[in-house]
Amino acid sequence: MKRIIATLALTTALIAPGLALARPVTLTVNLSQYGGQGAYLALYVTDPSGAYAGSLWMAGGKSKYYKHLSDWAKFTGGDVSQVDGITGASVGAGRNLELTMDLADALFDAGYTLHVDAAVEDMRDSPNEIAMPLTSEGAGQPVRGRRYIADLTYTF
Amino acid sequence: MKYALAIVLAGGALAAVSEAPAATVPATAHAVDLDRETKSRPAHPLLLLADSDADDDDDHDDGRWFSWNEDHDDDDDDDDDDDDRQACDRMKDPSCRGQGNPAPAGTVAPPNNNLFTNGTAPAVKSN
Repeated sequence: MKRIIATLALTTALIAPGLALARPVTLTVNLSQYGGQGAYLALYVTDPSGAYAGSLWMAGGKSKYYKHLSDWAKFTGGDVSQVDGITGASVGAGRNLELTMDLADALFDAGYTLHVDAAVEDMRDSPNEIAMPLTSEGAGQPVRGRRYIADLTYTF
Repeated sequence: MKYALAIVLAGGALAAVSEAPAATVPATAHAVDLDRETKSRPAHPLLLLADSDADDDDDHDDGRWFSWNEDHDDDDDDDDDDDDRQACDRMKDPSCRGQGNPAPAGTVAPPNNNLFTNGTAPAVKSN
């Protein structure tokens, strides 16, 4: 019996810190009525030094248009493997995109920034449409986009 | 005799005069035509085509998304994509990427970029 309890205590001690490193985050992107086709959106994160840390989501499945998400394309060299398994459909004008994901706790209050690049057929590209620091205080605070995104909010 | 000789000389002179231009004028005219053609044509038509492409590139520099229309001009790309979807269904076969497009969410694990924990894919809702 003591051996079982000891084993449980040990496994709990090993697993608990790992669970504490993640938090479920919901990102809600509301697009404005810009009067065009569906928008391609690249959501990605840069670290405190401004270097690319990774992608969170790609809205739009055809890689030949990713060059129009120009900041993302510059950071990644257009490497589609960066968005394998995290790619969905483009988002229409006036519609919204809600993403729920388990994000590493270390991303928050540590100088990381969430960026969104946007592009729409026959309209101007909008790199860095949104850049918002990932902080606990920023949760629930909508941030307006420059051209195609009405606002973006993340909540815990 | 003198009269006959004069006629022969006059005839020879006329023949010589009429043959000489006949031999030289067309050659000269041809040379002029070639010269005109050479001058009127672009020296390097392919370079001019490249110039017109460069104009398109300038459009891209404006930051406007023209490529969708260009692709329709190319005409085949989008159609090819559709064909590829039929020939290769990535929802059934995640290894089938086709056209260099990324794997859709839910078909493979998200990238191991230390942003996602436990390799769980994001849940997405859109309306």
